Amino acid sequence: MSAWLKQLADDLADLADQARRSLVTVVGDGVGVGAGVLWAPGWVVTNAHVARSPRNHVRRPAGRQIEVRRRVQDRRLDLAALAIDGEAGTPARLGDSSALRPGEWVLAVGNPLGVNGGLTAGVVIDPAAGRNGGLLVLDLHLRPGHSGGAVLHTLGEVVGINTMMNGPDVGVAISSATVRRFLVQAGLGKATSPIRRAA
Amino acid sequence: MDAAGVAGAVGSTVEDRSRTMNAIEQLSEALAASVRLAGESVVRVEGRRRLPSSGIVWSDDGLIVTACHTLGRRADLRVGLGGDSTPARLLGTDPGTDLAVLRLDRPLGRKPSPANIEEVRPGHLAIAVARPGEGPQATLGIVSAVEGAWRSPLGGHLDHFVQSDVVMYPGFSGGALIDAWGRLIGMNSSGLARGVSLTVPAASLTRLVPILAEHGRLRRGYLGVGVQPARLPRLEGRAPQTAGLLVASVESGSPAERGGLLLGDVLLSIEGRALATMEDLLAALSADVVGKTVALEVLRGGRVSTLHVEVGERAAPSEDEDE
Repeated sequence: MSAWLKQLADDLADLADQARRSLVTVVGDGVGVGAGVLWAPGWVVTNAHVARSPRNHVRRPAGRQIEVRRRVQDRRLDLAALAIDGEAGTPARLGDSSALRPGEWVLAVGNPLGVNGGLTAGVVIDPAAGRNGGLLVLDLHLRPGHSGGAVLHTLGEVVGINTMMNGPDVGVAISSATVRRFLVQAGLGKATSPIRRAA
Repeated sequence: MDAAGVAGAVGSTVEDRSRTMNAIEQLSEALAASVRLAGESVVRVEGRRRLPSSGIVWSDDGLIVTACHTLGRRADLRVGLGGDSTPARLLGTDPGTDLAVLRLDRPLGRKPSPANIEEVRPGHLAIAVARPGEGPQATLGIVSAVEGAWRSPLGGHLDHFVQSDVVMYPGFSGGALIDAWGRLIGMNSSGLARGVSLTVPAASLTRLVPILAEHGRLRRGYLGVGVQPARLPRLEGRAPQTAGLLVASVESGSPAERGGLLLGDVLLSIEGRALATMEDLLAALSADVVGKTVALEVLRGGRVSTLHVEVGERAAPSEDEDE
């Protein structure tokens, strides 16, 4: 049993490594203000409230700052897509948020309270919350700085974007399906289409 | 993304995935499966103005148990498992254990299978399953403590003390605490104590739900005495007992007066069970002794004698409703 627990811990750590590969820090006015996910080559997705400065940069841990050359946002959805030139990690693999089930394990990554790549994990409380079912309510501990970072399920695929806390013990994320809809409506559907390997 | 797409992204087929699931995937799958199973036994209870709370299916013929502190009204209650809901009638409540029992016109869901409390240990995974909305919702934690019988701050007797660290998200009271296999440990309530997640154990549900369904409330025995603990002298020919209960008042016309109890008597035991604290007396005056004649040992003038008293029923307290 303890070998299995060790395996569980190792698997979680692997998942954490994977989550961090697509994580960027969003910098506004020279200060890191939150997190973002390298969604597709050249495109970072984050919250609109994170990329609210008129001039934004993104930065990989120990990497240089890359200027954001274009920002597309939807304040009502609290989503923004940032176009960048240059290397900013490994694009995320995108998962199907509509297939999430309550009780399923998820992991959230971001820059909580300035800690680069800070992680929190827990289970899905409600996979279809909010007015249009586009929010994920999660049993994990989001903190300021997690915003804009990714929620991943156990296959290491991004199923949401951390967006807010609901008290100290509950996190709320925007589902990846909602992000996808936002990108398509913004005319970025093709530019940010999920990477698929040939079967 | 479709299933083939997901599998493609991890570089394997769907079938391969099930064979090569790592530990965290296995855990996640098992948790979701247990929630799904238990979710068939957890209903939505619409009994207050804002957010609905949760309830547990107790019988196949339409009994539901929920947390009574979440009921803001006694009529116009509805219970649902999916999008629609069915009318429910309130059969009984016990604020002391935070239980309420409802009867549905049209039975819903299915009875949960109970966990064996002897096998539930601190450190075990525990899942809170609730349904304040359409679908089941869940939070995960561990069992923090499992102890013996205790009395809640509101005076209810519970067969086990069960505490976990699951997050009680709004609407989770009345829902189920389940073990990793989806078996019922008990009913969660944030109304039993502030700031901790406590669970009314399945044993208490089994004991109390039929009583509440039949009588509407928990009957409690009544003697009609005011007592205070008093240190005892050594009594010859008896098992050592350091304290008894000194009778400081006897209500007129009460069962105690009719049974011959006098001011200044010291109660030693009831039906052979020692009485050293107020708790002992409250525990002894449970529903099953109402109307029965019990043997009461008293110390009077230095001598032990036995009185026979027919226990009465304590009048129901006036019911305070939330909101």
